[in-house]
Amino acid sequence: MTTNSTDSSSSSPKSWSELARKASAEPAPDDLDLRGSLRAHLESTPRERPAPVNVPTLWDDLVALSQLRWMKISLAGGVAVSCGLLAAWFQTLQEVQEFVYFTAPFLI
Amino acid sequence: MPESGPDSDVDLSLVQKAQAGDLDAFDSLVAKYQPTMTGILYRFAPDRADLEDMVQDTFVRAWKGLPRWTPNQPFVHWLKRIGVNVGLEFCRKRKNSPLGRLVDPEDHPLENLATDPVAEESVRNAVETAQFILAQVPPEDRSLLTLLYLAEMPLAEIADHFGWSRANAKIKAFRARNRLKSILKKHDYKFD
Repeated sequence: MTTNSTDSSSSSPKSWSELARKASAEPAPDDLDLRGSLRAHLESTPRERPAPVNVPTLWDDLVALSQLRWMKISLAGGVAVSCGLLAAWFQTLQEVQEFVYFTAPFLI
Repeated sequence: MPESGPDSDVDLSLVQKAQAGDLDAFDSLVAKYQPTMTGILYRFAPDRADLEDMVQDTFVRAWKGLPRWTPNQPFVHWLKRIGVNVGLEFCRKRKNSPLGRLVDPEDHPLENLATDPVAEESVRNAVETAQFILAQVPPEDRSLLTLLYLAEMPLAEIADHFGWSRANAKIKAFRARNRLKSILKKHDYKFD
């Protein structure tokens, strides 16, 4: 460390603001020589390639939505209700058909 | 907001060359900004070996990430953001670092600082003493308080670095200060 240790050790500050002020004013070491080792490291480091910019389409949004848990549950529920409604509709249609079939001769 | 001026023009030219893979241009940027980054990172890690690792890591990340840099932000701001992230990671990993072992409050109670000559000897300067204290708050608070008090960075700038809103940064700073206050009080330091 380049700092004068006697200063800080002989009068240990009991005030946070004083300590913080001293710490912020303390000069950082200016003799760091990293350029050589950094250069050697970088020469052997592969670069990142910029990721291609993908504009999300409606299909991507739908796929992303379908992967959400609540959406899966909702879809399953929706499909079950639709099937139920369809079955009820067919049953009703069949009943109407039977009603018409049996009552039609009497109506004419 | 992009900066304009001769300095940023030089940066832009060097960065564009470096983006194309020119290591000499990047070396010029390293030479120019190493003191700035050392000044910031020293507040996180006064230990020389840690500091060297952190500064080097910052520039390695910058080199790797250069293709993603766009001129809509000044290069130095982008570089500082990388440095702050390196500092934040250091705070998170402090338990495994040499300084982390030094500042582990369970091993070295703070009240021993004023009386124990060995503890005092191990804490050589104000930054180390401050980090000794800050090591007792959670890592995110530690990095926030380091930037706020030791690097004297405005709260608005800290908010930008962490991607927080101004209001959120104020709340986090308020909570971090309160945690710091309780630690300082416990060890007879006054928060003024």
